[in-house]
Amino acid sequence: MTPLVRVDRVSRVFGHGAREVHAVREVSLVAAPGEVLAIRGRSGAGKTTLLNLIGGLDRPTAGSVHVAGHELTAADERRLRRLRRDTIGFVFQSFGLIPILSAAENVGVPMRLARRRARERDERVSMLLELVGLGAHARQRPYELSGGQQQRVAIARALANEPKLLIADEPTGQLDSETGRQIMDLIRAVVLARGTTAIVATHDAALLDLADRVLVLRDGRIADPVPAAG
Amino acid sequence: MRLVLRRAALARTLLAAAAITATVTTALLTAFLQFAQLLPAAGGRAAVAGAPVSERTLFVTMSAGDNAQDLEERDAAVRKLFTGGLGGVPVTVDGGAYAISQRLADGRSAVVAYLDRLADHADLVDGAWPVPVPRGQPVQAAVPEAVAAALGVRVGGRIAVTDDRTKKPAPLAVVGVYRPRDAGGGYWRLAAAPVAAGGLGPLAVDRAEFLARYQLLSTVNWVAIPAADQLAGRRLEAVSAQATRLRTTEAQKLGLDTSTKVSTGLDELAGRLRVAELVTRSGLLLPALLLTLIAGYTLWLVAGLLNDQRRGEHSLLRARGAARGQLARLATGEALLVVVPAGLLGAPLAAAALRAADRRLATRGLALSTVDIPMLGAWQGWAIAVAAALCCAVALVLPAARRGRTWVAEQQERSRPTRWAVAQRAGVDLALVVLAVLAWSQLRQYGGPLTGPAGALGIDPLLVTAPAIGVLATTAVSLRLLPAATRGGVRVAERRRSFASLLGVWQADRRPHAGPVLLLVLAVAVAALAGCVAATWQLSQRDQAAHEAGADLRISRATASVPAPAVADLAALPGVATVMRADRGTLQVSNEATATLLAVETTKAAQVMRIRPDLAEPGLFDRMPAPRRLSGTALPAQTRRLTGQLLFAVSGTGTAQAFSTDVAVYLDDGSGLLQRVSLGTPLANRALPFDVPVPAGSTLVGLASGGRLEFDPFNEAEGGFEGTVAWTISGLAAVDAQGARTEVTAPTTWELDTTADQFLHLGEAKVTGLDVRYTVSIDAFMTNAWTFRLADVASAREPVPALVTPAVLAGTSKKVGDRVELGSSGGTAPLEIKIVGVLDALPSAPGAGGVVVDLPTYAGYRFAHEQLAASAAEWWLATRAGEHDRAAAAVAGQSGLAVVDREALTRRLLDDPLGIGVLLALYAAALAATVLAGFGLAVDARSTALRRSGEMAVLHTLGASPNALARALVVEQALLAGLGVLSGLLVGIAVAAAMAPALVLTAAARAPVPPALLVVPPTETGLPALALLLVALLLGAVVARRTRREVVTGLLRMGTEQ
Repeated sequence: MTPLVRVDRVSRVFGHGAREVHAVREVSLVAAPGEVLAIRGRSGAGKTTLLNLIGGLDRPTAGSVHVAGHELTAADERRLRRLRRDTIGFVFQSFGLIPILSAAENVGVPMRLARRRARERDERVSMLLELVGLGAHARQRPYELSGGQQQRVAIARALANEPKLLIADEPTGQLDSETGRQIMDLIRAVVLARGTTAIVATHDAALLDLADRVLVLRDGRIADPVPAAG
Repeated sequence: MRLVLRRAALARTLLAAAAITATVTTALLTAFLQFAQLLPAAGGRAAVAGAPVSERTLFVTMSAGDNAQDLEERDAAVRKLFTGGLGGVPVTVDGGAYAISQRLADGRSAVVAYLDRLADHADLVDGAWPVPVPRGQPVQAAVPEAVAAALGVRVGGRIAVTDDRTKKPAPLAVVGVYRPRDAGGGYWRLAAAPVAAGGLGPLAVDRAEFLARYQLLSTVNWVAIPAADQLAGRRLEAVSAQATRLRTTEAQKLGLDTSTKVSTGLDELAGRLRVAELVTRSGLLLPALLLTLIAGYTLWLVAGLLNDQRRGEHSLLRARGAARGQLARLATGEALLVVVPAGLLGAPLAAAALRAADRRLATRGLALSTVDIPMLGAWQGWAIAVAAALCCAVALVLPAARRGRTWVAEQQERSRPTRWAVAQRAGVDLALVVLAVLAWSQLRQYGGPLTGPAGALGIDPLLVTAPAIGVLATTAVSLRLLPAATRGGVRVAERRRSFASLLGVWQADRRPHAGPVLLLVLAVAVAALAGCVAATWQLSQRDQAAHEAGADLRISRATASVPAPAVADLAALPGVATVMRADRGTLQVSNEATATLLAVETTKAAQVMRIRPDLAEPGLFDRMPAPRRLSGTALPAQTRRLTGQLLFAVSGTGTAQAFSTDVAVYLDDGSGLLQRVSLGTPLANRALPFDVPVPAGSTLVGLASGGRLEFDPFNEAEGGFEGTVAWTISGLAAVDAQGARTEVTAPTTWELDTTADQFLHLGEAKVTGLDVRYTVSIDAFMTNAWTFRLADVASAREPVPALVTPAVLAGTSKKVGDRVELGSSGGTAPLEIKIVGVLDALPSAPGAGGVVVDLPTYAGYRFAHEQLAASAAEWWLATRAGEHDRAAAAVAGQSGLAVVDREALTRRLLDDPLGIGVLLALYAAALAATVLAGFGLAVDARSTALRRSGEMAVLHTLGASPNALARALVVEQALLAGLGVLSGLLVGIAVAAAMAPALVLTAAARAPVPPALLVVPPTETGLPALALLLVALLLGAVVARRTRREVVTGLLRMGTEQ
């Protein structure tokens, strides 16, 4: 099966000379469609940098990144943006919801960026909010929702444009363990239901059993491949 | 402190912007409040300096006594009065005496005088100052330059003078020629009276010589001149009180000679200045309050923005156990970084601004301070600056020191305000609106911010703060309407597919923008209000000048002996467009009220009279019926003279003798005005030829004379008089310049009117052409008389059409179309008018009551009813556009005329030092509001950029282009700035419309006449609004550009804190 994500000997160096920091060093990985790949590591291990590179938010110093057949390293900003908008969904540690918008409006933002028709957009927003169990909270604003509810809205938003890849950076970092578990269950369920590939960065060992495969990142390198969960 | 510095380093741009804003705000506030403190006193000093010397000096005069000892004692007594100054103010006392008994060869009085310290007040142009000379030699004198020129004498020459008392020559030897240094100064009052009365002088002689030769029958004077730079405020009051005491206390009680007279206008000047200063202070309070409002809000906003930035950190620190005190210390450290520069630099910067203002005002004759403004600022400046900086520091520290709430609770509140907060804000808004309405209604009721009886006027706090409250209230209301406008924007944007636009209006609609938008609204409103008040004040000064003058130039004769100027001569002056004649009188409207009667040539009034359009309906003068003219015999156009012969024929019996009074013809000079031309007074039965000049183009409209029967009281023979008395004008002819004669006959429409004393038996008269014949008898021992007039006055007797002011309507309880008879205060017959229109105020009339009639019609009425030939007493001139000064100069060149010059009046009112100061303050407030808002917006823009960075990163991650995000920011800023500026303009203009006219007062604290009209100057109101709009858009664009760059180039941490 052709991998959806292929990262080949990617490095990312910040700064110059004495202040040079190797955030990611020659990392290679692949993620198959429908696979949940967890990236584990301590703070500063390079998880977010790697996700930034896979998500087309940053360019590697060396190596290449392919997502859904697109070579991100060579892509211009416009292509990267289109890729992020249409192919990749993002879930952030601190949810990344726009505070002035309601839950429904937040979910609708990617579809507005993709210029989807209003009716289609409204229907899909409703569907997605129902999917994440927040159909009754569509008009509420982020700070009127609990942390778990906010992250559900963020997941619904990430799925808005039916992405092939879902990137989640510490999605449970600001949640208690029970809620974090529910969120990971939701991501797992969505991946299974839609065949979406998910790459999740986390340092919570309790959640790793929900991943198909776990990569451990240490000082910017992949330290130890962990077998997929049963 | 290390943590403070580290935190500050991370937010250095924002903190620097905040520190600069706080410094500028503090400096502006400090400068302005000091300016408002200094200006009234400065204006007062300028007003004192500009006051007539009689008002700012104290003058003591008395007889010089009989000998030198008398004079020395009197001099010592007067000087003793001023030992401690006058009311604590140092006084310069100079004495001088002049002889009133010296006469020049041409009969004019020679003002021989000695003047104390003359050398200090005059420059010696030639020669030397006089010294005593041996007896027998002519007294040495120093002569003013102008007098030397008039007498044609030089140093070494002599002036022939005769002593009126002894009739002996008392020549003066001219040893010096001097030029007064300040000819208008108080010092020269010492000899001003005899010079003003036509004497030549002062011919200064040595004091000892004066005492030896002229003291007897001399007058000695002292002039006390208080230090002008100290005549302000309480000191002026003290000076005034002391001066009044000296003026009103008996001379003997003051230890002075009984012949002493003390005169001064210091008390009047103090009273006038007291009111003027009050008016100025009330005028300055408006810009001061507005500036304080905007400065306070700017500091509050900056503090709020910094606190916003720190909110997250503080919540985190609080959550991790930081005590309130620790947070407060942290905030205090950071606040100090912001406010210390403001506290340190505020006063010196303010001093620099004040020095600049001082230099500018100096060009208008105004000095802000009597001493140099210190470079580092005065202590008052430091006090204000430190207080402002402390307030800012408190605003910065207070939120950190408050009992903390959770981060989520704070965010929830910011995301969507609680009902309690909404209700609380609505309550504050409502309270503000109620207060503003109350203040506005009170301001309208009192007509100005000063209230109280005439002698105890005071500034009413509610009334003087009314505009500021109005700005706050309407701003609050407009902010409540802002969401409706942005929601409309959201609806429009939602229909479009542009995400950038939608995001922009979403942000504008849902973000808590009250801070910057409120600042923008306030600043634009303050600038617009200040601009409107300033322009309204300026227009009002012009309106007052135009109203007072009534025309471009209004001329009257300086004294009754000056001949009336000819209309043709005035019309021929350069720059003069139209000349309108006028007469003025007073009418009794009711028992209490009078009205000014103005009889003008109504056919020219529309071109000449300066009536503000709102004071009269358009075409008001068109409503006046055509001027009524008396019918008569038109003389040939070239007529120069009337000739003929008068015969007063008397035949009858009795001891009484018949006399004729003056026989006169009445001529319409072509303009409807009547001129009485006397033909002579004939004696009984003797022909009297006459040849009198008459104006060209005249019409003969009447003939009048009268007879008198006089008894000789020493003639005891009985019998009165019975017989015929006849006046005959024969050979009446009009003669032109070449001597050609044209016979003149009486119109057939002329009718005879006779008035006779009660005991005179006057038979019916027989009139044949210009022959009037009476049979008359009397049998009593008394003198009786009768008058007659031949004229056609039937239509002239009708009521005179008139325009009246509302005060006349109210006083007479009449309305347009009614007739009313008004008594004449001058004792002449009442004037019956028919009201044909109303004008709100009568130009050139001091009171509210005014009646305007047509001059020819009025002249005919007076002739018909009183046989008076009403003439013009004033000449109103309209000047050609751009040629006013030329016309004014030409009129000024005509001797014997008193001129009221509209432009000169306007300049005087506009150049009033106190007025200029207030005007400057208003413009300064507008400028300061604009500058402060600009700084406030800059801080907000930087804060917005920091606040939005996380949010922008998320949207960028989701696929929004940096350009779209930048566009969204621009749309947001444009919408908010546009709405803010628009609201500000509306608020400023609305408050100005409601209150600006009521804020304009005259120097005497009265409402101006005509009432001030609101002016919305496009430049003064539009420029700050446009500038702030551009600043807001520019800052939006800068933030957008920065955001775009940061989004593109920065490393994006997904889920960055927002």
